[in-house]
Amino acid sequence: MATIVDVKDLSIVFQTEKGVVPAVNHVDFCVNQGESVGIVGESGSGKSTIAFGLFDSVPSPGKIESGEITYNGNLSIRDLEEEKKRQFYWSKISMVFQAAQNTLNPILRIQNQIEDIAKAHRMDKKKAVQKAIELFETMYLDAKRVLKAYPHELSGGMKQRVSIALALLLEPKLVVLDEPTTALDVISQAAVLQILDRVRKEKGISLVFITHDISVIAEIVDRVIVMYAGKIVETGPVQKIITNPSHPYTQGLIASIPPLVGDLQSTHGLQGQPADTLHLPQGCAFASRCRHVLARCHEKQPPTIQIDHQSEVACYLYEEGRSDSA
Amino acid sequence: MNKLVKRLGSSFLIIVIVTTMTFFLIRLMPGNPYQVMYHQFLMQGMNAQQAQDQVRSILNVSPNQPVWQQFIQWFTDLLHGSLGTSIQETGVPVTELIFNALPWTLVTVSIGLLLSFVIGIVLGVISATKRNSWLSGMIDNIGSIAHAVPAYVTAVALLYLFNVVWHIFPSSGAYGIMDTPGLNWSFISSFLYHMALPVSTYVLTGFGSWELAMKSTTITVINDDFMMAARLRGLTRQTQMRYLGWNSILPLFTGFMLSLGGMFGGSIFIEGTYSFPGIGALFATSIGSRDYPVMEGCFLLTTTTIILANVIADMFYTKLDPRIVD
Repeated sequence: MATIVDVKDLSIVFQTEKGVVPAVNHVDFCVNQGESVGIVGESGSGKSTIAFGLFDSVPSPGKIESGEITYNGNLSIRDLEEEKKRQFYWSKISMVFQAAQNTLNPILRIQNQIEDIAKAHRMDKKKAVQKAIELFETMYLDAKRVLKAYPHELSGGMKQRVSIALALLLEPKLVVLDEPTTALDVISQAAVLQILDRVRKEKGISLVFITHDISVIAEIVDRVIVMYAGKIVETGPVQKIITNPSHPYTQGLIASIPPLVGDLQSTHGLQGQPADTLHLPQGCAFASRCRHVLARCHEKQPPTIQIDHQSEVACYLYEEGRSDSA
Repeated sequence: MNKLVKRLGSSFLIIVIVTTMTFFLIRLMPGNPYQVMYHQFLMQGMNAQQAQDQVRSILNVSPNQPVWQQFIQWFTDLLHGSLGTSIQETGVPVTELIFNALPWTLVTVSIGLLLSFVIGIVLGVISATKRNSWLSGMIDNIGSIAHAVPAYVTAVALLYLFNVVWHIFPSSGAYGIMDTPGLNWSFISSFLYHMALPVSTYVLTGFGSWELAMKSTTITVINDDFMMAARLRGLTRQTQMRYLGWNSILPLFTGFMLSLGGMFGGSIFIEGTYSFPGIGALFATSIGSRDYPVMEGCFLLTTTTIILANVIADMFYTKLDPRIVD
């Protein structure tokens, strides 16, 4: 399978008044063509920052400190000149933003905003609008009404679906979705995720879901990347992560999902506070909350350990000869 | 339409109330011109009845008439389209004085207002987009200083530099004594030459507030989610600037319309300093000589234009900003 994007040793820092916050800390991952990947983590784990990092467009005061982001095996986005980058955006990689309700120009009708995208990417305006109508219809939107509407005339859920349709407008190779379903009710959530899944299979595009709620995307991602305090702590096939998580943090994350029916007592929240990214410890950032903590966890960062050919975990518990004690 | 009629009706009521109040307020100022003239005639040896008749025949007002009776007479005349006659320039209708002065004021103030608005908007956008640079700091400081220095100080400073020291621009009047107003080049060039200093004063004292206002709205809009989205959608630089510009300038529109309404009043200080024969100068002279009818005429003009500008601004705003519904 061809690799769409390959991220190597990506570090993103935020220069704040209190100090330098390493939001993303030496992260490696890749996304293959047609693959659907979920990046999961709690608030402040750096998952949204990665989304902007993929565009080489981290909002100020954030800055990519090091790393390579390579598309299609040979295109390094960090070396791209501005105009080339502008053309690359949206036609090859697009995004559904976290606050999708606010990502439309408030004083322009949806149709004009579609035409602006078409103009910027040298696409015929009529064709673009036609394409948008088709996408709107698959998202159960009244296409005619939506085209003529100003953003404030649409509900939050409608704007979210418009935002998703716009992301698919130019049929990019990769769509990054930052909490794409948070503004939607459960029924439209399922519908939108089904549409995304169908489009992915039909067009062979790759999806990257960024979410704090693994249960929402479990059905439609192939692989999950779990992040904690700016680092990848575990990656693996979604089934494996859900049924047999390796990293103590992932185990806690899965255990904290409340069941649809049944006893709330059976869910366990993670103990302790999320990592303070301003003062990260020398060793594993999760060590202070970990139930299986070892002495060296506090001393040195754990290495990334290959569990099988699809799964990796960054934890001392799985070091050679120790896997029995996990 | 019904809405407009209602709006105009309430505007009319406000105008009546304001002019009524000013009618009585200006008569609270020390120095009653009717009494002054009456006493002059008494000192010239007339008896009380003669002096009273003389004043009435010249000014059409009895000096000892109660103020409320004067008001009723003035208001009745107003409803018949007459603003009375000047006391200072005895017998000249107030409307004639106003219509003679109005063109000079309208031309200079509108040019000054447009220039300061355009300069302020451009500088504001530059300052906002180059935030934290020396250029932005310089623009803001110049804007604040220009805005903070009172108009009469700026006017005197320009007059001193460009007339007394360098002899570049004339010190007073609206055109040369050899010219007759009309559509001939000699007059127009002389008019432009004479308006240079007054217009410069309007621009210097006016652009600063537009600059600071535009900067603050632009910074807000730059950080809006939809601007980030516009960038990642690969919209062209021109389209991005259009999104930014329109969204930032909208909040300034009401202020601009009110300034347009206010320009009918001219500036007492600026026209006074340059002896420019506009409404401001007329207003200043009429206050100095307690020329009640001219003062009332000027008040009526400025009140009406500002209130009408407000109505027009509200009407246009609903057309310009789709989020505002009337």
